[in-house]
Amino acid sequence: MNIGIVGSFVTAGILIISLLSLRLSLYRNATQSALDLMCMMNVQAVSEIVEHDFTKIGYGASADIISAADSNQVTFLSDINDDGTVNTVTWRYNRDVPIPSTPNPNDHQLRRTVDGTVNDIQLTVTSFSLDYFTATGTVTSNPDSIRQLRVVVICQAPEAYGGRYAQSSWQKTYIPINFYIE
Amino acid sequence: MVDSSELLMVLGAIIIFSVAVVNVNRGIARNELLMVEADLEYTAVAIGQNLVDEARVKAFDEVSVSSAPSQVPAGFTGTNKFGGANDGETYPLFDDFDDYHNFTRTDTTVHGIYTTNATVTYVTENDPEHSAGGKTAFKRLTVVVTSPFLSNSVTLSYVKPY
Repeated sequence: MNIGIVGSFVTAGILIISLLSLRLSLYRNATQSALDLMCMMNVQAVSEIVEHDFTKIGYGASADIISAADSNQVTFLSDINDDGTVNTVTWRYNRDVPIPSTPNPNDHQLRRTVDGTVNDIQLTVTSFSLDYFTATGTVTSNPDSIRQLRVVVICQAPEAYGGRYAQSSWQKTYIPINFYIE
Repeated sequence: MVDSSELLMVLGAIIIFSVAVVNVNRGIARNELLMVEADLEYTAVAIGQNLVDEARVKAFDEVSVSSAPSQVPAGFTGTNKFGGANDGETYPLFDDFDDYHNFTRTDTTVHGIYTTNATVTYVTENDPEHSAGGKTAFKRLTVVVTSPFLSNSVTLSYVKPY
């Protein structure tokens, strides 16, 4: 047996296995990064729509600004399009309505309604929770006492990879200035 | 017998390959770190903005909480009296903008704990970036949000006019 040939085969084998391992690692990382990025973009897209609406809560309205408020839903008045007409805006997270277009069983329907016109935000939102506070930061459920709203949004990837769903989250407390304008 | 020059060439190839693998792995780790930091920074900005939103709805100064001051800006609070403690006020019962001077708050989120530090100073309309020497009709709130998982802090500023 030629020890040189055997040695060459062993070395080449190790190199080929290493190359394949590296290629697999790069592929895994690229997939994971793509899913992470997708989650982040979904969270940012949701947050931009929330920002558009929640900062305008009460704009143009004089009384009864928030008419319904619970952990899944909020209904408020606002001249949302700055056209002189006060609209009724509702954000609702329907925990009992899954999004059928994705294999992820955790995402559910996030619905934005403006004067009866429905927009479903299908961005793999797996959690959308609302908390309400008075001006001094005390938790409240009384719509008349609400001066701050905290929104927590979690989005997951539509597909699992390696047995887990990539996830991204965002939270913000809104203090709409219209509550303080008399 | 194996030619030693061939063996050295193989060893060299393995070393080059190893260096390449280490660099690739470093790149992967760096990429993941940037992704996580981007996510954390997005929440840090929201937390900083939250404190700005909170402060901006407060009165400009202690003397303007319930009525207009007799002199503007001479009648406003001096910077040495900034901070809620000087007015006998505690968070969240601050009633004016400069009560947030040297204020620190921690927020617990799904990303961990964020610490927010705020400072307030007088600035001028023409130079809002730098502290004014004395009292003016403009105050700047600077909010710095840090997290043990963020390599850089997030800084936000807001100028409130009287």
